[in-house]
Amino acid sequence: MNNFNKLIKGAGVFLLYILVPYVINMFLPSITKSNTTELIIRLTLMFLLLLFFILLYKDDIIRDIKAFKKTFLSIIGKSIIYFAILIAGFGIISALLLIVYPDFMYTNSSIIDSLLKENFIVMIIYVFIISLFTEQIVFRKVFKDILVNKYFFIIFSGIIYGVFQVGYHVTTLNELFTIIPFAFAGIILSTSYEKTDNIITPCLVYLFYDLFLLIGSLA
Amino acid sequence: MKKNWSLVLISILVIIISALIFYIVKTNAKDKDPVNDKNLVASDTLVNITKSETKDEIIYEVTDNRKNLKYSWTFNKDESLMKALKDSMEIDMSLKLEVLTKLDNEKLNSITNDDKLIISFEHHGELPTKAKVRINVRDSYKDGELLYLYYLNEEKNQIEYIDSKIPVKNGYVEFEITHCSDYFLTASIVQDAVNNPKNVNLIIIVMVIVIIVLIGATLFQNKK
Repeated sequence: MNNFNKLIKGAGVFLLYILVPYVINMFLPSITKSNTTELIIRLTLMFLLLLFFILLYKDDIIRDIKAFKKTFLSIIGKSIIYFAILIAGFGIISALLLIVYPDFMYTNSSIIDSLLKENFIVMIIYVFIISLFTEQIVFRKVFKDILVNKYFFIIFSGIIYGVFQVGYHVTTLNELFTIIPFAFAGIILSTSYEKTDNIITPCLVYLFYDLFLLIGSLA
Repeated sequence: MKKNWSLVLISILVIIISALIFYIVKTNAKDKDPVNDKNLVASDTLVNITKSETKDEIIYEVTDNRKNLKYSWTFNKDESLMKALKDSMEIDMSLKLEVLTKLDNEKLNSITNDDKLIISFEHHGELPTKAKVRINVRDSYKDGELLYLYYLNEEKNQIEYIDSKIPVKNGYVEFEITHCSDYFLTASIVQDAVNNPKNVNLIIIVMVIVIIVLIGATLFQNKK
């Protein structure tokens, strides 16, 4: 596929990833008043979006799944290593940020706690399937396809990932610092993809990270 | 290969240590009571409720025994207010509010903004018209601080964003409401609240940057 086709496909995926939730947020509250119905509709639409993304990149994804089957243990091992770096680095950066912005760490865990309490199954599906795969396609696959320089890909996609994780809620300069640990997480996820050339690796790292948070919130 | 598996083992050790640290931090956070026990201005210390009128507004002011203004209500004189007043809306009952630092509510206690100031209205339900509430927050916030206002929706068990960038001026904050219930002020955003203001500008800027970079990268590669 030539570079322009990759660009059009990638830019389209990236724009859809931003615009679809925005459009859903605009219209959904006026359609239903029930929180559960709203969540289910949101979930269904996001799932359809994920299916569309998978369809767009199906050849590459099938290739990665086949490669994963062949090098199963190696990829699992590497995912564990990257996850360890991610969690240790995230923890250190968060601890340092707590000095500057004391609410940072606790706020994140409170979101997960409250969401899990309210809609456990729906949130599990959302976090462990939809969000997990969608984010890897958008922030890893799309960027890697277009940005050939591996260092630029790793750093740029990592920072953009960090911005999108918390950027919507940043209203003060202090809150802007909260992008740092998420950008670090993004950099580690992109590195894992770059080094293994298999989208399954960042998916696994992210899965471990979600499991870690889930166990943490249930503990 | 052996080296890789040693790395994996070290990684697992790091994960276990990280998990322990996270657990300890979380346990400490739970143990730490984020609010102190000072229930600031309780309704039983109310001393004076005075009513004054201007051409367009009716103002009710509540002062303490040292004549300090604790809070005030300002209503625009419109038809719905006049009707409500005709129906004998008892001011000392309906417009009483308490400013607290804690409230027995699981949802509210689950959030960690430890600077929150709860405004609990005695009257629960719709107001006859939009009201401007002015409250003394001198003991909790400094002048110039910008606060967020959230509504504690007990029916839906959720926290709803109402307003932000409410300035503290001379120890007072002022905001408008149409419905009485439990609200709270905080200096920082409550991340899991409903309808939080979205910083769309930042996202749009980043989106444009990403598209430009992707286009630039493609053109650069084609030139090569």
